[in-house]
Amino acid sequence: MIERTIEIADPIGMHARPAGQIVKLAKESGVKILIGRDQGGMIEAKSPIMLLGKKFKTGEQLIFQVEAEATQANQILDEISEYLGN
Amino acid sequence: MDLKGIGIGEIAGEGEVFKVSTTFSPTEKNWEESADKELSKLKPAIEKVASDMEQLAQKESDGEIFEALSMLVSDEALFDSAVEKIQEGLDAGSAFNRATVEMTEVLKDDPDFAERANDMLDLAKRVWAQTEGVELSLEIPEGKSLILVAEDFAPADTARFNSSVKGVITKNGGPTSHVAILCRSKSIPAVVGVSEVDKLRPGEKVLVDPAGDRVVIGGAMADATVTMSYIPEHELPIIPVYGNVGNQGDASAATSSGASGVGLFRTEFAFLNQENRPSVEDQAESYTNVLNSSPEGEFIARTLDAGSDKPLPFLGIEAEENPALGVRGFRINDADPEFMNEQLEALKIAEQRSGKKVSVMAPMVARFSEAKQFAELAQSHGFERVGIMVETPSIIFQLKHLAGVIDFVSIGTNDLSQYLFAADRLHPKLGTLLDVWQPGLLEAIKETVRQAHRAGLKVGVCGEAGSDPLLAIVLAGLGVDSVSASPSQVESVLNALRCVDADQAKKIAESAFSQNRATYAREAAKAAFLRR
Repeated sequence: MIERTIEIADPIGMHARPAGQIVKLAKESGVKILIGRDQGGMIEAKSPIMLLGKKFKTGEQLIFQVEAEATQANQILDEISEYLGN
Repeated sequence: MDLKGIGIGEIAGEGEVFKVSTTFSPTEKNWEESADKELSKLKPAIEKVASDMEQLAQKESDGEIFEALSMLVSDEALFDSAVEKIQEGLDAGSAFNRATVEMTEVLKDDPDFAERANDMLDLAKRVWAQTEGVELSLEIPEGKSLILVAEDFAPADTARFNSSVKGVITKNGGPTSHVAILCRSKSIPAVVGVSEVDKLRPGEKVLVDPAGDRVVIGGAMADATVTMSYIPEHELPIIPVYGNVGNQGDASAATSSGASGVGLFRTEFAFLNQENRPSVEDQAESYTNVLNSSPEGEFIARTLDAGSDKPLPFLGIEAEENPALGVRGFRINDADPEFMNEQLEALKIAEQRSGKKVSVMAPMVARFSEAKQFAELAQSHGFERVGIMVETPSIIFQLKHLAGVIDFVSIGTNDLSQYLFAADRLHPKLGTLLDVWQPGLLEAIKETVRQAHRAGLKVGVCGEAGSDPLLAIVLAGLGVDSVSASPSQVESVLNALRCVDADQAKKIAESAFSQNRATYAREAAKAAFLRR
């Protein structure tokens, strides 16, 4: 499992499109992706609406955990970072 | 029988009533046969709606929204929750709708996400309609003569209008609603704000008669209100007519329409669908293309008029309760001063590349200090002619201080009406307040002309008012120095302004000013024109 903290740079926070993209990425790669503000509140990226419901805002530092080997996990994390406006 | 409304355009259209139901309001109910049967309906319904959204994503310029919607409607957690509700007894559509309502509840109190929650509820309705076999997406048959009738049309619907559409009737909406603007630009006859649309039956013959502000059930072209015919009597119009331009296509249309320049170049187009801030070079290239296709003569570029109602991701404008009253137009400059510098630099480069003289003006200027700030900025970039839009009532009373500071003003009648009458431009029920013939608006224009001329400033009108041929005569009679119309209207405005001399225009304006209602003002101007 690889963990990385990513800041939301997108000026309107984690809106529908990036939320959808992250879920799609998890689904298509078959890899489990967990997201949260802190270790205690990690949720699995399975539902864009549930991600929206977390109201992640611009400038927040989010923890991402990807259950894959390093190369693939880092690739996935790079993509997520891009979805979030970085 | 006649139904009253607000006419958009001059020419009438006839055809068969084609009712479009954009509202679908079913009531929640339980299934009768079996949960399995409902389950088998749900998945295909969701898939159909998701694929409709994907199709729109490919087709429309703001496709990203539709792509996101397609992802939301396919949400697995939402599906699972709907399945549970079906097992508890609800039918497929009701279950999906209830699940959506519950899941989006948490989003509703947050301004950043509230709009997505509304979109989701709309999608849930679409899925519901699918499960009941009701067609909600607008499919217009080809090769017919149809008059579309609906409560209102969303931008996604108007994108589907084809050549079968000979006219449009809506229950809601005013002269500046989405559908009105689209119909005007495509020259589709329309009557909006028709409260009695329910009296129209599908398939019956109907005449859309915008010149008469009415719909005639059973009517034909022969019944159309005789439009004012403007047969030019003079070589030149009494004041110049320019075109309003938003992109290169408009610029070419303005050129072929006979416009003697561009009175309003909306620079927004260079920024639409841009995730990142376009470079000076990218901007300069888009502007040069527009300049090269534009008619010779005047060219007035308006700096970016964006706000939280038309947000640009790279400007970092936050969502607001009242976007029309928020950080928009020139106010963006406070949030991001570099942005306007870059835009002016790009416009200057485009001026040099095209060899056409460019004047610049700023939108949403409310105070003397803002006008002065903009003028200094534009002059530092080497622009000789600088102006501001008159949209906020406050600036009318400051024009006297602007002598020698700026060169001209351009009245944006759509926004001026909105702020003068405190009536949202897009509000479906306030259309009549925004009628360009409202005496209150005409007086505001008159006062603007008086104050501006005293300060030695030229006055143009670039709002919807400048596209109405009869009103253009009234404006000329008030002393307005030029009008700018949408390219499709330039020719009729030109013809109207070639029918009268200065004295006649003045008399026509005076008769309109003797009236205290919009409809009377229009009638009085018409009568004065006919007996001139």
